[in-house]
Amino acid sequence: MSEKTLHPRDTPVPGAPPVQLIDLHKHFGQLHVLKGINLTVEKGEVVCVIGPSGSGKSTLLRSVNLLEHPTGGQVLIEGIDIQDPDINLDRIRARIGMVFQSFNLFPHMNVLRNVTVAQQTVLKRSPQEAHDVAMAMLDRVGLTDKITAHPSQLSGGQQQRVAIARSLSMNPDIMLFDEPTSALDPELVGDVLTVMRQLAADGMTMLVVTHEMAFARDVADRVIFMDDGQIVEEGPPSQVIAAPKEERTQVFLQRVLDPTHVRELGETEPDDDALARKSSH
Amino acid sequence: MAFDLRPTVRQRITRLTSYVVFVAIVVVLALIANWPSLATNFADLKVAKTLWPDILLTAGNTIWYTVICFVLGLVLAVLFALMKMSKGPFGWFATAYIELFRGLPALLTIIFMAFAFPIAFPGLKLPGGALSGGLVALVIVTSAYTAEIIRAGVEAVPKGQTEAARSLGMGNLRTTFTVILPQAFRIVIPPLTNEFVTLLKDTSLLYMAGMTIMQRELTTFAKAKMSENFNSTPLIAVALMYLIITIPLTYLVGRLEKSMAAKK
Ligand SMILES: Nc1ncnc2c1ncn2[C@@H]1O[C@H](COP(=O)(O)OP(=O)(O)OP(=O)(O)O)[C@@H](O)[C@H]1O
Ligand SMILES: [Mg+2]
Repeated sequence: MSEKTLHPRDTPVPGAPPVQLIDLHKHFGQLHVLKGINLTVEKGEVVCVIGPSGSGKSTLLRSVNLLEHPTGGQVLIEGIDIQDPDINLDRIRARIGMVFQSFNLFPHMNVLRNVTVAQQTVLKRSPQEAHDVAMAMLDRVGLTDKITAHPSQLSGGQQQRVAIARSLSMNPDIMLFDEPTSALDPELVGDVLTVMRQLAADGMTMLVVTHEMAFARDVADRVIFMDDGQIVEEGPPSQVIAAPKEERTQVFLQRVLDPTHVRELGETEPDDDALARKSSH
Repeated sequence: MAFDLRPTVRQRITRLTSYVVFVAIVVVLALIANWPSLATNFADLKVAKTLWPDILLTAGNTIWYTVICFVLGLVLAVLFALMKMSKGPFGWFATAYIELFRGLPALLTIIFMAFAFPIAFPGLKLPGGALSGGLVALVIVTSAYTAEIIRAGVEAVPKGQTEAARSLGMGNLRTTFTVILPQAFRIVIPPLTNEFVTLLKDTSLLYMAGMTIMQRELTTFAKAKMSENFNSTPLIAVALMYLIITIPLTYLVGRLEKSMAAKK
């Protein structure tokens, strides 16, 4: 709620990429979790981050909106150095949508309130405008019939779609996703991925940590493989997923694409149908 | 095992034994008690009738003092809980306040606020005389306990809630008041109700502050009526009034705790 005075360093630099991480380091005490990450996400680009557990994917993502404070390096959002103490970080965060593995909807508010509360308190939209935007976003994720429900009354997949609508209602320039489908029952994963595919098709800039290889292969413009706090390999999915050069990437993919994980590749077709149904009205 | 009894049989025997012991004690006490003296001293209907309807007014005062102190204490408690969770001098101050007033007997704080405070600061006159000093003391005491309850509630709200709110651009205070505290309050309703019951009983300590006839709460009323009548019946009547108020509340806490445990 503290409103700092507008600072020149607070305004986006024209033409600057939405996200730019420069030599980013993060230590948790002795633990060196990010070891010099350099990453640029261009406007409209969908970047998927893959890698083994504990490699630092979440920490990387959470550094983008400073939920995690880096111990070295720079985070530039549209050219603004967001570690600068003189800028209004809340205003920057409002433009960066974030979707969590565990949804993190506000359990004491109904669906509609979940999607309007930040619009009204942060963006100072009128109740009417916030309501209209919320309805439009809930329509986008196919949940306009649930506005009076509380989160506990929804399935995991529905909760995650409300969480996406909540982020979208802030008109973000960038959307961050941290394993948005990992906590879902297998049959609910498709609905959420469908929404994300539609979002990508609409041109949203997205940085997605995921274990859904089919999604990464089909939707990503660029795939980043992380291991041990470093970017080991990056490039278009046709290269990183289909023909990885690095041995560590190969080992990881072999494990993930093991026949016991076929579900991840099998969800493409029915999804596209669902997509057609949703966008037809 | 020396006894090879099925657990249900053994349980039944244990229960039977304890009933027998309990009944035996009651019977013995009943035999040695001086019933006629008890009846005249503690259950004199004539005395009981003189209590009506003033006992209702004083019960009203007890409830009224409890509610005011609880509400003001709650406001202070939120403030101190938030201060305690912050780093730096505010945090230390809150810790000192909470530890001080939880560490002292409530009666001591009441005596201090009712008598020592006006002597120390003759310029600061509270309306209502010594009683308001006592009430201020109760606000302080209950706020110290309630602050710890609120803090536990805030810490029980998952971290993801703060992260979601902050990632939407909500500031620290906004997050606290729109997202965290409403959830924390829900979690701590049972211990807050317990604190309310404790506070209600602690209003009896206000008798030390002294009060006018219109200001009397239940215990002060009972003491006055006892010396007026040279009879202890008012004590029993007032005890019943306390129980009529506290037992439903205690029962409610049990119900709330059960339903919250079921939700998890
Ligand atoms: N708050 C923290 N304090 C201490 N260590 C942490 C903290 N957060 C993460 N770590 C450690 O940092 C490392 C990277 O964690 P991170 O969550 O970024 O991995 P990840 O790639 O997202 O893994 P996963 O696929 O399991 O989600 C891990 O070793 C983790 O234990
Ligand atoms: Mg992670």
